[in-house]
Amino acid sequence: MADAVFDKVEAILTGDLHVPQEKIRPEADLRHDLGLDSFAAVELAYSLEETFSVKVTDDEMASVKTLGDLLNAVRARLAGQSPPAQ
Amino acid sequence: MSESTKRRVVVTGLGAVAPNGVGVAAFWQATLEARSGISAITAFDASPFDSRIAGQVKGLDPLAFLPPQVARKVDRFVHLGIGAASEALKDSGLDLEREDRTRVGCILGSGLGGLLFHEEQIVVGYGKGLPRLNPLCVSRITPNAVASHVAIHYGLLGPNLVISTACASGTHGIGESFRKVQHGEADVMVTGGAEAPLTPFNFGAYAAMKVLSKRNDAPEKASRPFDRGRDGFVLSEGGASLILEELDHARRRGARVYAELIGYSATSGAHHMVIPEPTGSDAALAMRLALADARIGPADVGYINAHGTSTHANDVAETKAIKDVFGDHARRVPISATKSVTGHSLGAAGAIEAVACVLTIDRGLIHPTANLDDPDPECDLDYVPRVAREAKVDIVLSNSFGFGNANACLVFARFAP
Repeated sequence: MADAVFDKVEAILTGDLHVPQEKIRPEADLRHDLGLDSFAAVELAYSLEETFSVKVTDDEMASVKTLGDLLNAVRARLAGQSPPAQ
Repeated sequence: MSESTKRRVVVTGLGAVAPNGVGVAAFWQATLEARSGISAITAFDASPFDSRIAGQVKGLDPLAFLPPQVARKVDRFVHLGIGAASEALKDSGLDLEREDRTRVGCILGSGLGGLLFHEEQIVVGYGKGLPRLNPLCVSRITPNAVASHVAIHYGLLGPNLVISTACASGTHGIGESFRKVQHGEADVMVTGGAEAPLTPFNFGAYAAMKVLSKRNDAPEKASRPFDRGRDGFVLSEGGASLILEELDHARRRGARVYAELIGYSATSGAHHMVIPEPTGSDAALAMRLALADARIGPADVGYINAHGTSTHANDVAETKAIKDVFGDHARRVPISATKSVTGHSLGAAGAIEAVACVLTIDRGLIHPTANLDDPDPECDLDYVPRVAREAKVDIVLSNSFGFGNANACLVFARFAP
């Protein structure tokens, strides 16, 4: 699981979003386990876009439940399955 | 509301985050000693400007009073405002856990709001593209962020406002808080002001008005209200806070009472966005109304804390207005300008000066007007030049006259049960 994408997402979560390090596991539910409210999810999407230069749509964020889902979505985007943001 | 139903309002806590001292004790000692907080600008590259000096608050650690997840997501004016509010609340001894917090509110003054983030995001928006703006833009920029964060941090459920009247914001904030307690809409108000105007764009905007001192070679001498050698005001940042409390509420919990707030007024010169009405008639009206609200006469006033910006326009108009209101007493009443050591912190200025007024009564000391070496011939009153003075002062008047001719005055009195 640990790779560059994981490390960067973890840095966003423990940094700007102040999620405790010990809560960060792939199966963690973003809302219930990591404590991200609706506005924190907006901040997270913004940080992902800035960090990975990808576009994260509102629908994608709404459909992502766990940290693992989120990491997979970012990896898929980086692998070129969708056009990157400019 | 009839006079008999108005409730009495006392000051039970003080906080100050000023360029010449962080914390009430440090600020007051420096101010008594005429020690200036003005220095060369380090917050940003000021080299393009003719004026390169400012009143910068040094050594404020937001993590001392805010959790990191909040401290990192608010603008500097919120740090300054909550820094002062936290000191004032601690000083008051209020136990908020035991209070009905629907009866505790917060009204603060801020002329500008969260400028630093605003400027950074303008660069982002017009550089990388407007869709790349940070989702925190609105919450960091909005001027009411400072009062909101005080409420969020302390769980205050009463009236919550930010008043924006440029250089008079802090004084209006205190005055409107006074009314909330006086009229029974709240029992306790956390009030004051906060301003963080030392950002490149905003500093440039003030520089463009040609109102800032260019005394770059001697920053500590640059703010010199009523002095012939003045060449403009010095822009500063800061915050200050007062806890206003209904008298019986303060008594019931055995609170220490610094002073009583007995009068407030607000007027407009209806003249110009930047230039004071030259006869000072609007400033005079503000002083008269504040004295009338306090039900005292001019001769009762033992000290005036002047708006005293160190501009020719203000200092002369204010002097005329004081003469108009006080007549013969104008030559006897000591007057001083806190801005001589703090510079002009806009929306925080009136709040910092209110703290100085309360301490004047409480400590029996009038702080001097620093740098008043050679008075302007048009400014011929007793401005307590350079050296503090011992004096038992029972009633003080604090003046604030903002850009846009927004005027506000406060009257504080020694507390007598």
